[in-house]
Amino acid sequence: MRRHHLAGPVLAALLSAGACSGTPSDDEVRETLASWSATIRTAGNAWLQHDVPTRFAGDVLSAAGDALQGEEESLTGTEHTMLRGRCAELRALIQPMRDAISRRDDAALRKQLATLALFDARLRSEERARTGP
Amino acid sequence: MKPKQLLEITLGVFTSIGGFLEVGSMMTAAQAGADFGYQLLWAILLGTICLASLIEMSGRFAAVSGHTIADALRERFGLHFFIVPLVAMGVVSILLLAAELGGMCAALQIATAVAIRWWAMPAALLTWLLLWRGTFGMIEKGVSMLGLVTVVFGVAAILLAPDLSGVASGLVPSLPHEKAAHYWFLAVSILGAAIAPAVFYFYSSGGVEEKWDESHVATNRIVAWGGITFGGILSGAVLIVAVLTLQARGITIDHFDQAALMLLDPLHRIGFWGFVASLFIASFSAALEVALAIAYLIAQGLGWNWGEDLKPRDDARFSVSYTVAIFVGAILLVVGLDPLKLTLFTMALTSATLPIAVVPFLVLMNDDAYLGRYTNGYLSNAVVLFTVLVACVLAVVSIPLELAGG
Amino acid sequence: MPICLIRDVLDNKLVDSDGQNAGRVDGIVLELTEGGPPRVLCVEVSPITLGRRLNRRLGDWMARLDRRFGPERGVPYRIPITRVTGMGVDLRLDFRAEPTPIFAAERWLRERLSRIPGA
Repeated sequence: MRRHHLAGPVLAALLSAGACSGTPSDDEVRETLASWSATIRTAGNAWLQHDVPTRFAGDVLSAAGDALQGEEESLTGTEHTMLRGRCAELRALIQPMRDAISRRDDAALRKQLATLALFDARLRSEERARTGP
Repeated sequence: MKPKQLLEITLGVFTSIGGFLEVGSMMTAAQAGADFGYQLLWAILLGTICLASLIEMSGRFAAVSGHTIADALRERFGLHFFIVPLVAMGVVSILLLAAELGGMCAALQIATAVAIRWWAMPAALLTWLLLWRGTFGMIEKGVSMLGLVTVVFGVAAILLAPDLSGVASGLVPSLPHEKAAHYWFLAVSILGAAIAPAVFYFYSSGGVEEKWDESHVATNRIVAWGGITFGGILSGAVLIVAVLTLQARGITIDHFDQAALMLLDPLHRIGFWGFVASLFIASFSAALEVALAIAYLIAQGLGWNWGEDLKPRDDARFSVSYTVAIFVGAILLVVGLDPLKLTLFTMALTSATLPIAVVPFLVLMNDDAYLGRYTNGYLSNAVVLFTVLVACVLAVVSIPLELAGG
Repeated sequence: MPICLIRDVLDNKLVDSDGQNAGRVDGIVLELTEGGPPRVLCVEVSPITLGRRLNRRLGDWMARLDRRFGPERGVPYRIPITRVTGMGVDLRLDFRAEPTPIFAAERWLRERLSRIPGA
């Protein structure tokens, strides 16, 4: 029956939480970068406005870190050096943010968010340069 | 209309609205909105219409024949046939149960930052306890009413003032501009989330538990269409909110935490806790229903005593069935199956196996030995058959593509 | 009165004299008589019969499993057709099924469940 043939690949896909079964394309990685960056930004701002609890904000940052690490590791080969760099750059922002949040340091988090905004801007201009005017 | 009937209808409609959303419909709608804007609204529309038809039929079947669908499947089609939907639906329903438990755990993780797999057993225990000690009325009416908290998505959608022409064009089926495999996979998942056979099989058992008869046919029609339609609208609201708060920011949903950001824009802290409460309660009520549905299917197919209103010792095999089902579902979460991926794939798998569950039921709905003069009209048969076959074909094509593409 | 055995008897639900569900007709046993038509002897209610209908080896395995519950077990439980009355969609039995092997698994489970509070 159909479901027997699906069992193997389905289980494999389900167990590989977050990881893709093939190398993601450059576009997909960029999208994931932009998505997690926006996620971090949204969660950070929400925390500053006291809309979300500290535990949740910390959890989002952890999840972001794990996801980005997964992306970095899936990008093998020299043609992906720049994208890997971008993943690492974004990941590097996460721990300082977690520290700021756990210290309840609004000012420090705002600084990190400003750095994040610069990262976003650079990502967007790179995207524009690639796709052309 | 007598006041008692009016009360029954109102109660029934609210129960259906409250009970419509669950982890599958919420997450597929949210992903669809985040990834494809309003484009997939047609899938929600189609799924809603199909489900409303099936629920109405299921209720009518129980009321007129006094039998449940599982009863009739074995009686009419015999053991050799019955085994096929029994096994197919059994397997898919266990995965669905695991997904719903996963939804409860995800909500708890969002609230407490404690990982999902630690919540699996407590969530399973809570679900089991309510089935063990509760009555059908308590579960159906009580927990589903709590589900009305999901109206928060409707409120948010209105506050966000979506572009109505965009929404309207999404209601018309369209082809994707990019990421076709993912588009169709999501379409299929939305259909599977809406048309879960466990739900309308469960509904017929509910009708028998509540001892419906012919006089309930008219009320049932109103409740089914009214409730499911509003529920479908709520599903659409989830999608719309996702478009305006997630897609607008370029956030795609790879993790439950990202979905939790959905209601922050219009509703701030209320939005955050509203999401948590909605996800938890919606998944909880669905977990209860699916566990019962599995037990009903087995018990009715084999002729055991069954009934949520009975004490567990009076229907021991039935009670043990849902207990085992819940336990197996929880195990899948404890071993680390990713609940978000599990949810999406189970919805798609549901679509792939829809014909097995639905076509025999349609045959029964045209059998006048069970339904007398209440058999299906041509239109209902056509609508359901069309939807189910489309869902299945799409599923068989898109599931492998999605698996291959990651 | 002619009845269609497959459609109206096989796989239909049995209800006992107490109104309890007593399983389904899993098998029908006919007796071949010399010079006459076969007649219905009894109905079988048993997971062994169910198993055998699907696959002979499965049925034998279930029989072996059932035998562990007692020396007189391991064979399908048969109900003489004379004890089956009322041919609605559900067939009625004129005795209580509770003490019979039909409820064996139920009784076994019930005993163990009674230790859990709330049962």
